[in-house]
Amino acid sequence: MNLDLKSKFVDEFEKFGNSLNGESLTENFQLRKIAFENFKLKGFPTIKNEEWKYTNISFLNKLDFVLSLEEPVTNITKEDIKELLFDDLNENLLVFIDGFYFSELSVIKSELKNGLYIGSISEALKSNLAGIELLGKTIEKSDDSFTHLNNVYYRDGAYINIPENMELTEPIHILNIIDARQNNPFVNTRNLIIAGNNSRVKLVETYHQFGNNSGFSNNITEIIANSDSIVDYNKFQNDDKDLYQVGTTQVIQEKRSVFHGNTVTIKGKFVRNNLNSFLNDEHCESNFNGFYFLDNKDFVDNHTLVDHAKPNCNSNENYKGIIDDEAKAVFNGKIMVWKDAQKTIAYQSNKNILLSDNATVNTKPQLEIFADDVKCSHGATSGNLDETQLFYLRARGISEDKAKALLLYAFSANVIDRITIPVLKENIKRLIAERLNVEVE
Amino acid sequence: MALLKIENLKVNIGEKNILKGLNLEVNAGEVHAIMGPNGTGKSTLANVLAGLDNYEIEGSVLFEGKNLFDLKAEERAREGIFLAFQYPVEIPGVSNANFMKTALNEIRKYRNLDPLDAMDFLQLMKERAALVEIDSTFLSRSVNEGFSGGEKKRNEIFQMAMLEPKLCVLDETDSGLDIDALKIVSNGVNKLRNEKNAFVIITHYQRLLNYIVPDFVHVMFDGRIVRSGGKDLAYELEEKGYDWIKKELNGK
Repeated sequence: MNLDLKSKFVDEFEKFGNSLNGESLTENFQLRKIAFENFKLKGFPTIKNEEWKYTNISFLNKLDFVLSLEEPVTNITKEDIKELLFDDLNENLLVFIDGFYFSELSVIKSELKNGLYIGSISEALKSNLAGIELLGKTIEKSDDSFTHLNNVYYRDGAYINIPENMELTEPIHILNIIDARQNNPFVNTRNLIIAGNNSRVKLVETYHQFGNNSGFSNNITEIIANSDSIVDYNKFQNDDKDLYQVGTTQVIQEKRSVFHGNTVTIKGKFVRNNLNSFLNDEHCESNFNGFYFLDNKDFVDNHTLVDHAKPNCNSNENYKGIIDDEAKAVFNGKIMVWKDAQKTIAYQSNKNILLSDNATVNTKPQLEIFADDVKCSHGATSGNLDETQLFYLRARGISEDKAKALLLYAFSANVIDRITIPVLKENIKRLIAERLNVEVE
Repeated sequence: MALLKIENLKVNIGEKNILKGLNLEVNAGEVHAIMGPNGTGKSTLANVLAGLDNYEIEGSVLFEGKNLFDLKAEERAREGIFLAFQYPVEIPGVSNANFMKTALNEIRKYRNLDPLDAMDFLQLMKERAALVEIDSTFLSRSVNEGFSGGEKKRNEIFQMAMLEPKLCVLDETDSGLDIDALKIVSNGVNKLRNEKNAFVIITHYQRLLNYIVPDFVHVMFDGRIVRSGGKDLAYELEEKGYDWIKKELNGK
């Protein structure tokens, strides 16, 4: 029997409901049921869907994915995950394996007091912690297949609640491990981050696969940035396994909040990143930076949305990519400026360097503006390295290969330098320099 | 052996003949000025020597007896040819320090020398920066990014001082410089002059030659050197203008 994946996931639901025992009577389960009906109706998107036009996921049916619904028994140790961590980051570390929290692998350095919580969704639900009732709030109106699917089957994820006026100095690293040593796991994780009024938090999200089977990560990170908060969110992808990733980061911003979203992919078999920020009140600032560096047959699709609902907000989006071999990149940048959102300033740029004739990029800005007093601009380029710069370097004795590497490094640095966690920035710069074989100071 | 020997150099871009049989010989210890009106091929000559390869080229250019056209741009630099660009390129994201360190060590490797360690490099850089009165904060800035015209030209001379080439070709280094910057640049060049290196200074005006006194002056017109002489030729040109040469040529 070879059912398509949608049917398989639909068939699984009844059994899943029974396995949850008590939960099937709760309100939470009703939400799963609604999501289930939606998923059943919609199924997985095809390239006929405008949002998935360049991103073909027909491979889904060919790989025998198994939903990860039970906490796995694992032999993964602290030693095993060491190399997945950044040097000297001094972070709070939350480790998830196949979508389940492993406290024995995690390290919480910050003292959990005055309302600060850094832990798991499952624990927060069990203990009915303050704020957990907001789970799902940012995606209420979403009608995306993967979001529905996540709503049906997520079991766990990170729950982080930063109380009012707190500046959390240690960053929080959410490390997601997909264990594909035995089978092909399909993992649905859900993170919720609440930044209280006037708080500050720095987040790092990474994904890694163990094993050479295929794995699928369908993640949703919900971020609520309350008034005057500053949220630094960094998604870093550097996995060379057969890992398929679809991730949605959904941000709601309140008055005067600032969101920095940095998305860096330097390796990825199949990556779809949705980064959506809803500016729900005045004087918000949203900065999206992205960098992708692809070779072989890597595929990365960055879909972004900045939704300006209220006046006097700024958004600034800067994505850059280097695409080599037969790799493919997609960038879709949507900016909505609603009628009330006067005095909006929205800027968007996507620049690509193609290093091979077989590399491709599809880039599409999408501006929908209903207000009349706004400043919006966008630009997209794709091309080769600048010949005059190359010649200038060569005329000083630098070989063509080294000159190219230097220029590519410089191209990336322009984005990476905007990362606001210095140690993380240096780690990522070093990884890029190593990949390009350039020496940096 | 001449440091540089150019014989019957002809250069075309597509259908257009830019250089039409140019001859020039430069020996170590000499400073040559090449003057001439716009559009006579002066910058093309500079670019051809540096190794820009979008030209069709005939004739011969020997550098220390080696056929220049067998060498790539980077190999020419490593052999000791340096072009101070008329329009130095901005390279955001590459610091001056990293640029020079990479260049210097590539050249040292070519000459079978060990790379300079960080301390020695820093010391050298500070010393050479002082030569063209460049502030040390400039070294951590991106190459030419946001530099004024004068700063860019000073940076060219700084790079020249760092790499210690044998043949320095200055392509209109004086253009766009105010008198103070002109003095700084000239001063730098004069300090770098010695009996082992040579300079080819391409300029439109005689002004620069008040500060860098040439041994030879060549007048270029319509893709050829049409007259050569000592430094007095530059004064004559300044006085009579290029029309004087044009008339004389037409008269022949």
